[in-house]
Amino acid sequence: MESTVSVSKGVFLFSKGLNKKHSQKKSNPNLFDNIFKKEPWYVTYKRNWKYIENKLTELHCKTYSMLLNDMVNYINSFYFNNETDECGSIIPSATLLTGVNQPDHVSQFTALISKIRQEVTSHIAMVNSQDAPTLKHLVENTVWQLIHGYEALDDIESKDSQDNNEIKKIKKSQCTLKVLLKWYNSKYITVSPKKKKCIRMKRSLVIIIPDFESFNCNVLQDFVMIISSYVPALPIVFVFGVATAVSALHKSLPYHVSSKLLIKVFHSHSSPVYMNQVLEDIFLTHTSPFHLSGKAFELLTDVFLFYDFSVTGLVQSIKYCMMDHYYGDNMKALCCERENIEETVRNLSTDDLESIRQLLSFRPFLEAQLDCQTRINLFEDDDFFREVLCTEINKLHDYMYTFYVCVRLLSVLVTDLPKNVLGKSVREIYTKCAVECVTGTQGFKECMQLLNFQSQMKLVENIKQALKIINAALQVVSPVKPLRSTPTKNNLNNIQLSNDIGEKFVKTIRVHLLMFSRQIENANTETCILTDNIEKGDDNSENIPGNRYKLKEKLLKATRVDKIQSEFEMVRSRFVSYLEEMFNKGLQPPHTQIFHEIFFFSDVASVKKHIVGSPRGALHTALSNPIHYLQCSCCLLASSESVVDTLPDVCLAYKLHRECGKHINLFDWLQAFAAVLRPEDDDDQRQQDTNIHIRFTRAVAELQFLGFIKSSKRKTDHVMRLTW
Amino acid sequence: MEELYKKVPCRESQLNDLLNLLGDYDEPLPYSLFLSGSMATGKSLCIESVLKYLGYKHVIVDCIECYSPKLMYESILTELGSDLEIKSDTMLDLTNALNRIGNSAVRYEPMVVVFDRAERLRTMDQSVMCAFLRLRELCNLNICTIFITHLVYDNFYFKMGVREPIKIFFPNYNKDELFKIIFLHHKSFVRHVQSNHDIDIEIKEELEKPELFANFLNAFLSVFYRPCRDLIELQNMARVNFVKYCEPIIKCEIQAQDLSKLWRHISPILKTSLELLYLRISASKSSNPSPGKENAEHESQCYNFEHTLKDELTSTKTFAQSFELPYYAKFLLIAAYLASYNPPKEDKRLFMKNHGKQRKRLQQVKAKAKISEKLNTQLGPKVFTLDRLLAIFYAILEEKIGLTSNLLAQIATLVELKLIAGSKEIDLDVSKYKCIVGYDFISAVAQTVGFNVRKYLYDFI
Repeated sequence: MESTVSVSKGVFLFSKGLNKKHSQKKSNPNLFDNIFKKEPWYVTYKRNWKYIENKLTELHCKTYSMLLNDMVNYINSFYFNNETDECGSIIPSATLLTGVNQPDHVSQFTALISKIRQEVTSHIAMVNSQDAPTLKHLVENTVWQLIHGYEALDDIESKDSQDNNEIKKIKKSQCTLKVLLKWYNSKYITVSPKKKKCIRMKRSLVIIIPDFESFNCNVLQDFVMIISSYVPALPIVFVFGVATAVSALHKSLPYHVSSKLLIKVFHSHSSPVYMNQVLEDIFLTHTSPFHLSGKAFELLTDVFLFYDFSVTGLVQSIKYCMMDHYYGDNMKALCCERENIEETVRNLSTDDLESIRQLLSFRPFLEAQLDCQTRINLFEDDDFFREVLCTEINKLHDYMYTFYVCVRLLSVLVTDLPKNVLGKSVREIYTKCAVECVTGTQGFKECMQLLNFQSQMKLVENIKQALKIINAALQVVSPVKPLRSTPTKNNLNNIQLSNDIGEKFVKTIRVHLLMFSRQIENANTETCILTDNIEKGDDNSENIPGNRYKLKEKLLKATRVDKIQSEFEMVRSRFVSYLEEMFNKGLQPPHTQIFHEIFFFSDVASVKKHIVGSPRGALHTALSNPIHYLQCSCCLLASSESVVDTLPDVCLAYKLHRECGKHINLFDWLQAFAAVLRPEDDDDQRQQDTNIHIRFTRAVAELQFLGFIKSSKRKTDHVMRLTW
Repeated sequence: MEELYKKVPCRESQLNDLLNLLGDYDEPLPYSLFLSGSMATGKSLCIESVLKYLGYKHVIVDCIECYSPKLMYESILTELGSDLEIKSDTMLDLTNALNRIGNSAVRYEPMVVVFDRAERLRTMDQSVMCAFLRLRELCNLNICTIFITHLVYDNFYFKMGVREPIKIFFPNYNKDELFKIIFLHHKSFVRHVQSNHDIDIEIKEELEKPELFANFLNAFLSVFYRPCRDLIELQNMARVNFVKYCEPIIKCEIQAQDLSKLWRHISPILKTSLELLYLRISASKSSNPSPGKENAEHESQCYNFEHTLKDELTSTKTFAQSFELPYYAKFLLIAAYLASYNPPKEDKRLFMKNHGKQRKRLQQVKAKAKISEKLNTQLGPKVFTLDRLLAIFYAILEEKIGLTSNLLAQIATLVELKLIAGSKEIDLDVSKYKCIVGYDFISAVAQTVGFNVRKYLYDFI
């Protein structure tokens, strides 16, 4: 960054050559790298973010690949197998329903473009609505991109066609469809019918309109009509991105236009589904290098669900949290793979160790140590502390592993229960589990009760699902197993190793579940017989006529008989109680764990300001309580309404204007303003003080600039308030 | 001559008129012609084939494409054979350039300028069309201008007197003519069917029989002739439906000769596709679907989609349900609706908890009764300001949330989605909005968040 001579803060525009800009861009990441290169937290952060980013792109590709393939096939299906029949002037067009999450569209369309570029054609034009306010702009932009988009690729592909240089000089204002037609004919039809194959000759032209709704209808209509008259000569395909629904297309195009189109509709994934996928597959796994505490997670998902449905936004805010979490804190270097824990711990400096000792969660751990010597050792002996740290971090890893497995198990068992007490998706259950100990809550108890009424079929199915999850989880972890055993070998007899979490725990769950599933399946027939017998007994007794009292007694008996559990019911209740016990062990919330601060990000308050910015609120605090930002001692206020003469002038004017109605008399305002600044003078003196006049005028101008007031023509000596 | 009639079927009288008017090579052309008739009645086709047949030098200008007169002039000049790169900004430049062409070319060589979709000329400068109507006077050439439009001549207004063009009207095709024209494309229809399926040779022969196609067309036109006369649209619908008509024959379920059975098979299909008229949604499956499970899934999706589409178009309610909005965006939209359809005077009464009793004066009651037939909800949306929108939003939202940038961005999003009309920039001072969705839509949205819109509408109190 170059510095300026200007004193005031502001944005400065430097006019620079294109080349210079490039070099700047390159140096920018270097700047960060240079400063923090050696900091362990920065290295860890970078590595972890890269890991997440890779995962994200992988997932993105996976979810969109089918849609993209379908679309590309569709585009390909025209003009490639040509010579079918003349469709007249009908433009084939693909309509992609993108959903209302607009920030995500960019990545969708870039993916689509790169796919088309690879497989269909290099002539693609993507015109945004802001680039095309009028028909002229739209046509010029489209044609220009269609013609020049090719060259960008052509440079790499082949340099045989030197005559391109002539065409390159086409000015934007000259781009009309006639030019396009001429260019296309010269390029593909007349120039070299022998050299190129038939398929290559007919490269289709793709025009992408990503935000259909925000286009001016008339412009689009005319554009479609123009294109339709060229379709017999030019193989053009439209791609419309529609955010709402197909009928938006028909609403803005009258029939004489829409009859020129052949529309095929493609649905993209709905963004809440995609968000669930992103969260479940990437962030809510034990392999994720960064974890969000319940509160922070809730904040982020709320922003998503309540405000914008934007996955990109979500990922960016998670990234922000991550940066906040890692910044300047070397102990966060411990957020690494299991294999590397020992090494990182060894590399921690004494200061880092000291800051780890300061962690809140360390205290209960310390208090749990009965032996005085260990306590002292923990504080004084760095090497000993390092060893403890190692085991504890490993334990934390184990804990996280079981925690996430349990969350998934619970979600499988709970999803199709009525009423959705705990929620449907993994993310909802995670929030519940991470905030508090879920087994103690009313919702969990209700769920377990409901599970106690579930039918056999359903139960078996659920257990099978659960087993699938466990097997998948075990598969992930098994290669790590041999390495894991090393740290436990250390002779730390005095610190009790709880063996019941981690992989072993999950394995026992699997064994138990297998057993239960077999039992429940087998219990099937026997219960039927059992209930049949009971019913038969009932039938017999009912045949005997009796008085009311007897009947009542019989019914009472019958209820009592029912209470004798069938085998299935017995197994089921045993299963449920096992589940309760198991979840109780596995679903301890993260904040109960020692050193959880290292992995779990929980500083919601500080991040909230940045993620959910509130411009008006900030402005209000700045003006009514400037000390909040200025941090000066002079502006100390008794209450938010009180005024002091040391306040900045704008703040003073702002505060005074808040006491007025819709119209503010400027003279009265000035009087009040002066009265605050010069309480000791009398009115005449104040009025003569030009200094005050100037300060007041300036303050009013600033308020007007900020949009709080505006001058009104009706009353010349008044201004209007605009906010309330 | 015969060829011409064959190429342009069912337009004999118009063709004769045109040929008589444009006449022989050495005769002077008429000043201007005006061809009118509704869409797809063969206007452009007639004139193009006549001009080609006569071999005159001609230009066809699509008026939509020429968004500025300059483009139009230049395209005329380049086509008429001035090889130089001419800049022609005004009509004067055009006539000058035309004169230059006239000087160099053979005297009295006929030239024709055709303006397609001439209704666009009305929005251009007044003088443009007037000048083109008497282009021959302005330049020393045997030139004729022809205007093609779907409007009648009376819809063109001129301030000054103009030389009236010779008018030729193209009536709509009647049923027999439509039949005849579509029948000409029999071959391509059959090919279309064959390209979609692989068929035995025997059945192929069956399909190629003209009787089968004739029967289909009869059935088809009996359903479609009433709502639609547009030849292109009819052709397209026929193409789609002919495939369906042939399906049972290809699958050997119905004999090709069994006409009544075929009719029973096709009539419900025709009726449903009648609803998709003009929509041009192609429901055709991808020609080479991927094998296996995905295929079946895809097809079922396709099927479902057709149904939902139909619903979506018939009612706004399903339109509203067909896409999901974020929670607060829904409330913002509801607030916008309430702001648009309630008089601002009543806001206090509607949204405040203790608003005090309103004394009903006789005058008010009368006034209300008077305009009861003009309910606010039926009068269309009124403009409201951002302040009012936010105030109502906070009044109807139970929880307390801050006025964050995300929330303000949602307003812009709603504008972008064309649910609210207004400017995208959020400006305290000037921005005015209007809610442009209907009551059905809002009530559907409100239902999803459990909100009773009627309770807050002035009309329903």
